[in-house]
Order: sequence, then structure tokens, then C-alpha cells
Amino acid sequence: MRPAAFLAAAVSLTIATSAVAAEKLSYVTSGGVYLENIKKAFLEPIGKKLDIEWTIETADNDTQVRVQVASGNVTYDIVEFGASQCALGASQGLYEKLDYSIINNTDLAPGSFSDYYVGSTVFSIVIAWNTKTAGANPPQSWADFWNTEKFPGTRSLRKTARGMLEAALMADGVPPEKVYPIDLDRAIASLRKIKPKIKAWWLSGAESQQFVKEGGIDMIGAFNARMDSVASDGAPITYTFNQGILDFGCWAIVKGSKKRDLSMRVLAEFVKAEYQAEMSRLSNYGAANTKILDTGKISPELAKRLPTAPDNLKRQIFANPEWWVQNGAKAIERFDQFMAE
Amino acid sequence: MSDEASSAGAIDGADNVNVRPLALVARRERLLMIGLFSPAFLLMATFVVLPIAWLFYLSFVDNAQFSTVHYSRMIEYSSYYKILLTTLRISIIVTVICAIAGYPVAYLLAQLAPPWSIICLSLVVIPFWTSLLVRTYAWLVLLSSNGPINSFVEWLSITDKPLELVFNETGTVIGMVHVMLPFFILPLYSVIKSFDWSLIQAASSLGAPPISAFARVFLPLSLPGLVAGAVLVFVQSLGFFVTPAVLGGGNVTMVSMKIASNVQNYFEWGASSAFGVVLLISAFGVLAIAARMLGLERTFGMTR
Repeated sequence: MRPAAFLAAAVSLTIATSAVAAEKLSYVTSGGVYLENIKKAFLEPIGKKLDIEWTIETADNDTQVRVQVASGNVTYDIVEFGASQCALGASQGLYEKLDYSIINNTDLAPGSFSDYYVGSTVFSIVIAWNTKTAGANPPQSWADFWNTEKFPGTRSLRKTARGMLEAALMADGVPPEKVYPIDLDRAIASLRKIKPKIKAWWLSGAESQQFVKEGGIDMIGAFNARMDSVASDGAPITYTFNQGILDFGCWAIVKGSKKRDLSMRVLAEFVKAEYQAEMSRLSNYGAANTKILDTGKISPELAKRLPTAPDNLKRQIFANPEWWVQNGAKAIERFDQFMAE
Repeated sequence: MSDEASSAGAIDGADNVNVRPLALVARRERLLMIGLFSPAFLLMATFVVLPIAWLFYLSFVDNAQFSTVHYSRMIEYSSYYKILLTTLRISIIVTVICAIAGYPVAYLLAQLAPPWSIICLSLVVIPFWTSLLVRTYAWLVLLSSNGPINSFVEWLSITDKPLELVFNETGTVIGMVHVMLPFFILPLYSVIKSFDWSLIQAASSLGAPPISAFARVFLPLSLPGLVAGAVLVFVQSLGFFVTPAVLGGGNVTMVSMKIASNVQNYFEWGASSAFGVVLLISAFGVLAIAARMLGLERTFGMTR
């Protein structure tokens, strides 16, 4: 074949394939069961609808996003993290501004979206306990959790400032609606009281599950869906939503993404009730979209178990993203300092 | 080498004619050596020296300006100092335990005849092929208060309370020793394997009882392997993350964990790299002190 002819053939071939090939888009979230559910509820149906071929990567935190934005070599498009990371990243210019003329936010819970991110799942740090060892006299508030004389047993908490400072204040008698702005000194002083009784502090959700399954922990402050999942594996674990600390996952588009417009259209799908309802059905997580019950996908039994069910919402507080963006660095430094004491 | 060449010429005396060609050969050989060495040198410069220099530079940058804020933060919060001490202490303990436990194993491995030596060597190596996370969680199960070890201790009725084996430094050290042991055994094994056993026979024939033959002949000659293993274990221990996170149950914070926390907490890399720089310098400090105390300057090649 002559070079020119070969070139022409190659070019026409490329055009032909690109006309039918799905567009590639990268999606980043934490792995495990959570990712499997995200695939089933969001990525597969929406990928089919918008003709997208997903490149899925897992990350527990936004370190890679920081590297990509700082170096200008952005390969991520849509990322999903915890609200604290989205809010902090947004304040530091890691994400593209969202276009709410494309993304419909009318049904989204207030506070679950901002100019730079939009809420995905809603979860809660709840008080959970082993029904065999602590079932006769389970703790019903953080004050009970802190009271080791009336509620004996080994304890575990999350090794993060976010959530634990709130719990510590409620344990110290601060009413839930008065938790913010957080009094750091008071929160740390309260944590200092319980620290000798905390056998283990968990970092990842998987650790919290191992601790209650194999680690001999009787009471734990942990994510509700993680505890549902160990319970469904047969572990004798249950929990209360009393004084649970609600937090949410969030989607954002990485600054400098080459697929910004497509990503925006994808987010417009992600926030729809039909997909979010499917995610809740699969995972027991709540959803940022307040209309998921209208889809008919959620059974009345499940509706009661979701952290966003009206009866449960009443008993919990929402972690305040603005407070954490403004005070997070100092609060985390104080918490790390306290942990090293 | 040129000294040797000229002295060889001097011994020959009459044959001074050879001196110049020999010096030429020596110079060519030296150039060849440098040439052979340069790929390794380039590799080290690109992937070790340059990144460390970059790390050092970043630790002095805040808001795109020169700043020592990342270092003054470490003075302001005593947690940094405590975390550094914990890291160094745990790494030293792990290294010492690896040495005590690993030395006899390496000695035994070098003594065994082929079928057994291969079997035992693979037993040492197999853990390498298992996921670190899986091994760590396995230890969590083994060491927990209602795990098999504590059940056994309870059955023996030695103590009335379960032993606190996990969620503390004890658990962390146990898990780390398990991970690090092969890194100690393998370099030591290769040194012992090439040991000239006739030296021990020579020592005995000169009247040395087994213990002094071991202590005065075998041990000093195995020192390079011991030092190589110890340095490998110590340096790797400094950077451990998963094992202290899981088996320490949050009660043990090592430098790498605080570095990870700072990457997420601050937008500036310097907040993390400054602590990395401090760890690097402290590690060199500990190695230098250890070298001096143990008289290892020769092994490290610090003096001639």
C-alpha cells in the first residue's frame, strides 16, 4: 500500500471508530462495597444513557487531586469524597464551579450542596453496641457512652476531629443545637475524660467493622451503614440514631478537567431521585435528594432505617461544613496534639 | 591503584620501563569503572537526591514564599516531638527484636543441607507474597482480647484478665517484627552462607572453645550482614503506616500517619515535607550514633 493511501485509510478508520466509541470519563471514590453499589446505582445506568465509558479509580482522600491540580496534569474528572474534603478543597480552588442551570438542585437537602460540590449519600456516626455484651443496658446518648460506670464495656471512637469533637460536646452536656460553634477547649477536655477508656480508635470504615467483629469492642461510634453491614454478616451489633452526627458524601469536578461539560451533565443525572433511591436501597445510606421516597423504590421498613428518615433526622445533628472549612486545620492540629498526649 | 603499579615497578627495579604503561592501564580501568558506575549514579541522582532536595525546598515554602512556618508549627505543638520519639523508639525496638530473633534463624538456614534449606528459606520468604493488610488484620484477630492467644492463656489460667496484646505499642511491634523479619534474615543469610568455615576450625585448632570461636571469629565476620539487615529494618520501620494504624488501634501515632493527616489538613505540601525532613535528619542521627557506639564506621565505610 502506498503511504498516502495508507494514511487515508487510517484516518477514515479513526473517524469511523470515534463516531461509535463511548466517551471516556474518570470517576474516583473510595473502594469496597461502597464502590460496587455506586456502580450499580449510578455508573452503569447513567453510562448507558449518556454513552460513557467509565475509568474508575479508588482513593480515600483528595491527595491525588491536589497533586494533579498543582502539577496541571489533570486526569480525574468526577470525584466523590466526604463533605469535609469537598468543602476544604473548594475553598482551596481544587474544583470547578458547578452550573445549577444544568444541575437541578431544587430537591436537594439544604446544606448538601455548594457552588463547588453537590451531595451524594448521607451517613451518620452513630452509637453502636454489641448486643451480647452491652445489649442489656445499651448507651442511648454520648453522655451514656462517656459514662463508663453505668455502662461498662470496651469502647472505640473514630480517630478524627470531625465528628468526635461534636460527640464530646454532647457528652459534656451541650445541647445538640448549641454544638456549633465548637468550643475546642471544652471538647478536648471532654475527650480527655474518655480517652483512657477508649481501647481502640479507628481510621477507616473497614477497621471499625473489624474492631466490633474481631477486636473485642463492646461499644463504638461508627458509620450506620458499616454497622448494618456487619450486622447482616451475623455479628451481634445494633445502634441508635440518638445524637448521631450526620455527614454526607459529595461529588465535585476537578479543576482543569478536560471533560468539564460532560461531567456537569453527569452530575445533573447523579442528583436525580431515581438513582439516589437505588443507591439507598442497595446501601442503607441516606441521600441528598429529599424525594427518594417518592420513587417507590424504598420499602417502608428501609425508609425507617435510613439516617435521613424524618424520625431519625430529628434525633441527629448535621456536621457543619462551614465551621470545618474555617476552623478545620486548627481543630485537627489540636485533636492530633490530644491524641499524642 | 597507581601506587600499587609504581611499587610493583620499584620491586622489579630493573624493569622501570613498565611503570608508564601500567599507570595508563590503571587510569583506563578507573575511567571504565566511573563509566560503569554512572548509570547507577544518574539513577540515584534523579530518583533519590533530587526528590529529597525538592522535599527540603518545599518544607520552606508557604503561599509561594520562603517561610519557616512549617517548622515553627512543630515547635508550637508538642505532638510532633512525641510522634517523632514514638516512631524512633518503635523502630529501634523492632530492629533489636528482629536481630535477636533473626540471627539464629539465619545461622540455622546457612547450616542446613539443600532440601531443608530450600524449604526453610521459602518459609521465610512466603510472607512477602501475602498482602500486608491481610497479615495485619490476621494479627488483629490473633491478638485480640477474645482471640486464640488470649483463649490459650486463659485456659492455662496464668492470668485472670486477658493480656493487652493489641491496640497499643505491643501489638504494633509484634506486627511490625513479623513484616520486617525477612528483611533482616535475608542479607544476613547471604553473608553467613559465604562464610569460610575453615576459620572456625582454625580457631578451634588454636584452642578456642566454641563460644569464643563464635564470639571472636564468626560474629565479627557476620557483622556486615547484621548491620545491613538492621539498617534495612530500621529505615523501613520509620515509614510504617498500616500496621501501627490497625494494630495500634489509634493509640500509636507514627510519623507517616501525621504526614498523611497534614497532607489532607493543609493545602501546603510543606506542612508534610517539613516533618519528612525532620524524620530524615533524625534517622541519620540515630544511625550515626549507633555506628559510633558499635564501632561500625568501617562497615559503613565512613573511615578507612
